[in-house]
Amino acid sequence: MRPQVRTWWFLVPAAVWFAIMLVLPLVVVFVFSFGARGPAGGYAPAFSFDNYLNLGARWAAFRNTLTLAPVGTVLALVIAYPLAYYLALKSSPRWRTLLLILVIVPFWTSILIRSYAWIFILGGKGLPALIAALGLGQIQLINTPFAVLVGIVYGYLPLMVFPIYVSLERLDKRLLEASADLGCPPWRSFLGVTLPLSMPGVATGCMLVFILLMGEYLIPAILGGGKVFFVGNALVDLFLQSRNWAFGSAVAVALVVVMLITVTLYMRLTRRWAGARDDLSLM
Amino acid sequence: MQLNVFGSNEEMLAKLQAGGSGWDVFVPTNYTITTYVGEGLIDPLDLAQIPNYDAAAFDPRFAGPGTVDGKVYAVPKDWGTTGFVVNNTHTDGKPLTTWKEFWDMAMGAFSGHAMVHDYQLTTIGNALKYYGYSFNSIDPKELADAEKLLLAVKPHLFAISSDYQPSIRSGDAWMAMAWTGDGKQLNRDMPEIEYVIGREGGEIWSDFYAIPKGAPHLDAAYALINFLLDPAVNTREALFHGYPVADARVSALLPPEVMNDPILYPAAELLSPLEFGAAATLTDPNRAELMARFKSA
Repeated sequence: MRPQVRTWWFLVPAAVWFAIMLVLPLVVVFVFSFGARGPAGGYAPAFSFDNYLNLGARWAAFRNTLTLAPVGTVLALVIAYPLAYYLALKSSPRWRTLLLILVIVPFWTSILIRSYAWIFILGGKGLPALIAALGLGQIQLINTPFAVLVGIVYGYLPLMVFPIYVSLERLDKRLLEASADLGCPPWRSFLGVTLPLSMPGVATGCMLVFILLMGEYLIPAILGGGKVFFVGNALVDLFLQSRNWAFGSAVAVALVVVMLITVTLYMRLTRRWAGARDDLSLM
Repeated sequence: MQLNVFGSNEEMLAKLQAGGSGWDVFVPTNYTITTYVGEGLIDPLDLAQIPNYDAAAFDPRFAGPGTVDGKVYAVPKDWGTTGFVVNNTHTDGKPLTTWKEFWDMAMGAFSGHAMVHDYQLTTIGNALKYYGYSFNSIDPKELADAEKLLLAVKPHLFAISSDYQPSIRSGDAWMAMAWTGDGKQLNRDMPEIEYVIGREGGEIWSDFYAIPKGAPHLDAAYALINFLLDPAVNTREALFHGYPVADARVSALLPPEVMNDPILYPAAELLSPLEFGAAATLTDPNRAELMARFKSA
């Protein structure tokens, strides 16, 4: 029994941390969500379901989040997979470490500054000027859902590359040789061996990116020009501009519920897709 | 020194309400001060520690809102108007003069190139002016009209942001709600950018220096305010930021071309219909929710 007691003791810091930094604030938000807006803003104690009944007023923010987050995740996956594949299986081992570092290098600069840089690239004097000079017409890129998607894929790409890279890198190369020996053309080996074995990485990467995107605030604020609105932006507005903490809390609780539902559905789906294999425990 | 910048007074109030801002000095606008006093978020100033503040030298129109119930809570920093900037290379030589034109152009010839503030007071207030209502209205019917206009304009807007200078300078935006100093800075660097005060009226305002309750470095706060109100320092400030100052001692030091600048000191007939923001707009739940709905629409 003693080693077990010791293990419990090791868990105490984490447990205290979670209780104070996660559970307690969630309880506060839950309680506030049944309250009212104070006379000068803020929170006033009350008990009503009004805030929940008013959630429809933020439908557009939920709709934007629930479309752009999955689309952004899929785009990041489509771009990240070939890159991870190249890094893990095709790049020369001599250069691999350097290439991996290059994937991380963007993290050395704040996401705020990197997103800000896109304002100039996507702004009128950036890409659209180039497109117009090529005679392809006038287009606006900045402050559109497209700009937000570009920012999302750019910002979250490393989070998608690494889990996939790890699962591909651990892949037993002899399986590919066996598959080739047994007459599989490369594309069938990929579909039959490589892709299924990298699914845990794909699932982890998608989960990471999707969950973070559901709470995204910065990229839509900077590249959406206040016109492409996520739930995160609605929350900032409710807590800072309108100072309606009660309604803001209800929107926050709704976001948590929506996230729990979508993530549960997603896990069910990936589990079914990956068959009865249980190496999804990576997630 | 650490500096926080907010796109609106509302956001700054939220930070102070949440507590623990750690600020020693902050700059609120006239219409917010009674709320700060009512919420117990600021203390009266000890004027003995601000010898450079000479109440007699300040225009009472701009200094007045700093005094609540006979106590001075805030001293004037600068004042200005809220109008709009327009890039005249796109107007075919027809000058814009009214808020009606601002909104109609935003939905018409300037579709995709107009910006409004991310700020309930000015964005709702100037939408109210489209119908000739008061800039400060909290009447539900008039607010409903303003909301209708804002929702109709939204798909045509380039952006909803109080940080409009970069987009005007890059040429992406052709027209934006703007404050005096931004209008001045833009016009100074790009003469084709004109600063317009809507003929129907709109906002005139005064910004103040104040000290939040529980400021951690009270001595430093007073020292900074006193330094900034030194007429020589304040003159250099005014030349830099391009906002007029209500201190007669500063006006005397400013060069005549600044004192005659129509952006800083607009003609009396443009100034007279302007309104100071009303305290009720800061706390009115309907205005707050209208702005939030407009943004999340």
